[in-house]
Amino acid sequence: MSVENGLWVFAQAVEGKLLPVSLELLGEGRRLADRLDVGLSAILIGHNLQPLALELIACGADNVLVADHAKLYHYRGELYIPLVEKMILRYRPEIFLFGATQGGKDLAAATAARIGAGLTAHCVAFEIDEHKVLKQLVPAFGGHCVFRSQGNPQMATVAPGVFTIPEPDYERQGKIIEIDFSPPAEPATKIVEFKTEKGSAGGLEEAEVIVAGGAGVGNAENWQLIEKLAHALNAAVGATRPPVDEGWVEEEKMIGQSGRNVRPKLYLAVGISGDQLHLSGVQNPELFIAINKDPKANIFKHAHFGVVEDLTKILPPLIELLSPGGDN
Amino acid sequence: MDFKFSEDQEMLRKAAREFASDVLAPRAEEIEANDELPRELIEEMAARDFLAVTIPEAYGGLGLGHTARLIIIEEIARVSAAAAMMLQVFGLGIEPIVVFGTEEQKQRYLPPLATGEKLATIAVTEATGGSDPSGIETVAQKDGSDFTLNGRKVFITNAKVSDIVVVLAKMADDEKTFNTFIAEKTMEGCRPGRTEKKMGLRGSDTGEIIFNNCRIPQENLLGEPGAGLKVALSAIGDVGRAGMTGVALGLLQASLEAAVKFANQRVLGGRPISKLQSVQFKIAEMYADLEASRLLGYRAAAMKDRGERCDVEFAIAKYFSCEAAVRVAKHACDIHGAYGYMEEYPVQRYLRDALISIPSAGTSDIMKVIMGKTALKKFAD
Amino acid sequence: MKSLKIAVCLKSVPDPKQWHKVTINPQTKTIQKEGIPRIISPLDRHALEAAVRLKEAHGGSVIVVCMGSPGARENIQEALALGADEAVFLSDRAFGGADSLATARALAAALKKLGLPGLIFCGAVSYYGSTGQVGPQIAQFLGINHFSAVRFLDYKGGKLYAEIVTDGGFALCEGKLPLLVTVRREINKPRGLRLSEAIKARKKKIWTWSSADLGLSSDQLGLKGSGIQMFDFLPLPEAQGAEILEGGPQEIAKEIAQKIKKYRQGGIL
Repeated sequence: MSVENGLWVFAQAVEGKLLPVSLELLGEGRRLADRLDVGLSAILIGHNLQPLALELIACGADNVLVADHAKLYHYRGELYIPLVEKMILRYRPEIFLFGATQGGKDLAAATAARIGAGLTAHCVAFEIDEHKVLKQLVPAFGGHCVFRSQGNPQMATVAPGVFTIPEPDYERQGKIIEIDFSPPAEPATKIVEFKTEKGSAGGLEEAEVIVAGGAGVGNAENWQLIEKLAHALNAAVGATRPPVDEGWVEEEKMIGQSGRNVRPKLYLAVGISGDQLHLSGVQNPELFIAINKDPKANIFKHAHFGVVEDLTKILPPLIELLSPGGDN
Repeated sequence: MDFKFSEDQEMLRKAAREFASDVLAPRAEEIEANDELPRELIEEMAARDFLAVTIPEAYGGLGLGHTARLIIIEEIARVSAAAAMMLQVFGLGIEPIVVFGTEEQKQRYLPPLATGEKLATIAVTEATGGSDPSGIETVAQKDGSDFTLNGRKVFITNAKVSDIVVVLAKMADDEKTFNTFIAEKTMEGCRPGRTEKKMGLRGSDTGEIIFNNCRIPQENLLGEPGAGLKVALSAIGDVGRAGMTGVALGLLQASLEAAVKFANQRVLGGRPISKLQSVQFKIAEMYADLEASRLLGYRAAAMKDRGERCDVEFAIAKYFSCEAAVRVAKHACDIHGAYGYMEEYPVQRYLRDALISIPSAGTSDIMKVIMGKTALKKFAD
Repeated sequence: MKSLKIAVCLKSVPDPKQWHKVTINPQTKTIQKEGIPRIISPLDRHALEAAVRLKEAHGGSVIVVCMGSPGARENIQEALALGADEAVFLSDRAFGGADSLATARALAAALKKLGLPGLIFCGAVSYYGSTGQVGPQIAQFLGINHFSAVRFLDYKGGKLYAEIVTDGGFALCEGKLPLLVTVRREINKPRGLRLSEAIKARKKKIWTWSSADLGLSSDQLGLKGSGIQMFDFLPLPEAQGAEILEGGPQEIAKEIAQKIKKYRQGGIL
């Protein structure tokens, strides 16, 4: 299948590995490309990319456009943006999907501005309408807003964890297309130092058990109860925006549209009112328990079990019961 | 008549509200539990110029006047009446210096007060009385050109934290002659005494200031010799009543907000109690009390800023708003049911804090004396 | 050395503490946010603080550029009280309904008209929209480089050093001006509003510009100039609702613990 007029996915390599969201997008991209009967291409930029290109083909790419250069090892807007613009102008994709990572968001936004294309953020589902136009669903206000982007290509970003990684098939065949790159003689920006550091999200995205707190937790002291409960359950800690704004917890732990997307099996929401911006980041927990003082809190519409009570009354005995040696 | 705050006044309110909600609110319970207003919160208020509001620009202040002061006290009292009370009485300490101080006294005392480097208070009340200052027993003995002060002032807000104390005394040789002085804590023989344990307003520093052979130089005499009563009472008068009105307004607003929040959340018989007419009527009365108090307070403050006589207007505002604060806080507690008596809800604090607003800066009965006298004259044919 | 000209792009947003009051009209597909107090988008306040601190350390001037409805003027006034020297208010019905692309195009046109400042600050994301797109897009319209998600900043020898958050960790970057940076909350602690500054701000100038002042046609701006359009709203079916556990705190805690235990024993976790 041709790289021209096709569906593209930005495949982001970090420290020699593909980010999971790139593969998740290939799965969804494959479905949409088949529906449109066009080729699915992955855009891969970095250094020493051969094994990654093969992985992308195994996960559904028909073509991989590879720009391989030592200077491209880390994401750098000054180099990546014109490169991707050049690829778009040459091959004219119909649709271009990006993971909502630091690099993915930046590259998508800048590229969209350069070519004057619309870019829809926070998409959680796509559909192809009868005119072969991409319908982009964004959660908001207790439902989904449906967007269309103008211009070519139709561009969207998707948070990690929204789609699932397809089963790789290393028998699949695909084409690797090398893209020329020569670094500018006098770049205006450079990376002086790079520090590899695992984010402090504490494995939120992979966590099977999450204890999350919201504004209702009230203060930093009560937040310790959230941490203790998480510890007792061997769970990851999550938060809504207010605790992050208040400084009780790091921004990396924020769950929701502008934070992390999580798929826990067990989700314990404490002092969370449950607006859509938060809940859209929590994908189908199998057991969902909410504790909130306000009986009218929206969270009770979505949880399986609810407790209308002050968290300072419920959490201490619960922590005791769930801790090793507790009554369980 | 234009019942609208100016854009500038709205901006001042925004600044005060930002401090109250972002800095003060997270620590309101701590202030209550420790019965102490942390020093860094006072410093933060100073950094945001809250202490400079009524000090003239020529002396490092902002010269914003009394409407501005009322706005700031109201916004702070909405979160912590104790913190508002610190500001209120600070204002009483500086007012006599602003109005009656010599150029030298203003140059010397006002700039460090505007920046919060120093804090002020006023000391009139004694065990023998506050509203009748002629009953005080603190005496000033003429000593060459200086004075020696002896006596014990009680229920003084900012007793410990203040550096500068405007103090009223009667002359040892003439019981009918009063003088007001600017004393400093660094002077020998001027120190705080016991700290009071109060039912409410926890975090407000209330206690004694003791003068024991405290030598006060002549240049610290405030106002004309013998004009002490006028000097001290002018501060407690309009400015004191304005400040207490501000404290009451904050408590009114906080009580109403807490009551509405609880009434919407508390479910009885399957629906929130805010659907009950008995609750709605209470809320309605609280709302009317808040609005009436606000109109009275800001009307008086606007008159003060225009330089008009407004003693009765402030007496009415003080009387009405402080009584209303108690009524409304009680309603808020009632709406909370038994929860209203529990420390985990703030309404019990609002009620305890509101109760002290009545005796502070002149009791309701004193206000009635002023209002009654005026009315009897004004409406006589 | 030429004095440093710094610009800050500000957005006025409904107070996040009251977002639960923001609703959508399913018929008209318009967002209702009337009556909610407006604040400077929180990360934009960090951007403003970064700009003002830079000015305080190195001299120069800070100009605020804000596009918004008339209510945003109050937030511009606030920005002037927080240390900006003057402001440009892009206020015109033609700007209404803009997505990130149309917003960035208008802001970039205003910045160009100002003679391209050496440094432009934005929040890494604005609250409410939180796409994080506007900053990088302004940079493209201006043809300058940018650093996204900056958490530490230093300016020396005419160069900007920025520590940015990346997908693999953190990168210390160096760049020549002109540059646009988008900042994260870790970069600083914004100052509080001071009364004296609020009063001084009254005398500072706010220029109000319309689409005509920017030399842009109406089809490049607002809803018409946007790259994306919302054309439908699909409400979700009302969720089933939780089973509310009753009893005293001890009993409820026990019940929750049992549910979790049972669930874990089901072998799923």
